[in-house]
Amino acid sequence: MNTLNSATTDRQGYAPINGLNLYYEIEGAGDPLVYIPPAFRFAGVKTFPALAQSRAVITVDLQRHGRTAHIQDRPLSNEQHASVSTGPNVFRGQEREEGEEEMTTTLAKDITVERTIPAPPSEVFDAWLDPKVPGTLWHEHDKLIFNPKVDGLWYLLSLAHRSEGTPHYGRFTEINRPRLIRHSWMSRHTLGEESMVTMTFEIKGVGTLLTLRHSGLPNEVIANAHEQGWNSILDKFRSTCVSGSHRRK
Amino acid sequence: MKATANTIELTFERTISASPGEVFDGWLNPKTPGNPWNVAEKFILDPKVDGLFYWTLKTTSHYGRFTKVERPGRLQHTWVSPNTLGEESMVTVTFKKQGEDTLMTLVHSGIPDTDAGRGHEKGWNYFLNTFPEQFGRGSREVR
Repeated sequence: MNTLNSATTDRQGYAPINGLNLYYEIEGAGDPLVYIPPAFRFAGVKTFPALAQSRAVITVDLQRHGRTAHIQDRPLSNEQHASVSTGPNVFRGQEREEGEEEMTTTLAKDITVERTIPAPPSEVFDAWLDPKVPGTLWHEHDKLIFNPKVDGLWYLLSLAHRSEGTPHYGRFTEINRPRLIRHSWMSRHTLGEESMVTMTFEIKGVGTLLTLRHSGLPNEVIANAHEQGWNSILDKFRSTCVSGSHRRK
Repeated sequence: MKATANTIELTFERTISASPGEVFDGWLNPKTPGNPWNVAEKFILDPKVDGLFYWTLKTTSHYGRFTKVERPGRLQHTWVSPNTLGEESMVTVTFKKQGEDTLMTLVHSGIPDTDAGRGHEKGWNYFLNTFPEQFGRGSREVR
């Protein structure tokens, strides 16, 4: 296998690959190893010092990410992204060799959704934990079992979108009125993996900045779907609080 | 092993030398060596209808909901984990008097037909081999 070193190639630049002008950076010298990132502006950002001692580690910005431009009419896909592994051939100007390696990872994804609500944190906090208040997560269900205390468990069944329903399960791990609520979250939409939801309630003017962070979601598609769901729930919750109906119950 | 669509069903039977009531209570008592609760890294258990449980073993979290708690004959709960891909599978345990013994039958249905799903067979066998040993007069596997 041919090796890459600083004499035979630029340490960074653009490589013409499958019609893309792919931005790359190389760290270390030795047999090439292409790192296919999960997304983001990745080239040169995340380095692999141990690997770079014996390998030429090539990191890239994928299509439409970082310094690599989008190509119109070419949808982003894992197959498309994976095709950058032909990179070393282009860098070397020769055919791909047997035994050439590539690696990739999947990173758990986090999402954050914020709303400013015109009511003090204690009021917003109490409203959120009251299943009778429209717009709270706990109100939007077809069956609810709910025990909001540390190590209390919850179960929420939604019959929308699926006749047998989508059960969600979780466990409260932190309840600190009026500042923070944290609980786990799992369902078929997390592939059964335990993700974590943290809500904070901070004073902002005369109102509350509500920040919801959902972390540890297994991939980007799942993270996007949850982000959409939370946006719709928090819009409804905010409307309830704005109208004052959370006080009337 | 029985398979429907994309799910499988696993059945385990053991004859245990104790009364159904004793076996039923032993299966739910975290102090009984050999049952799942006893070896958990962490568990929360509320064995009543619509009571929930949480059970962590080897850093894998499981959740479930009791749907039947009929001492001493029947126990049923859902079972959800990464190994079921977050789908609700169902565990039904029955305890039948058989002379002086109890025939304990555990049926786990609705498990995705994947490697991780099929792994439940090994898991339940582990518990169902150690649990009966806790009862005085010994036990044997049903053929």
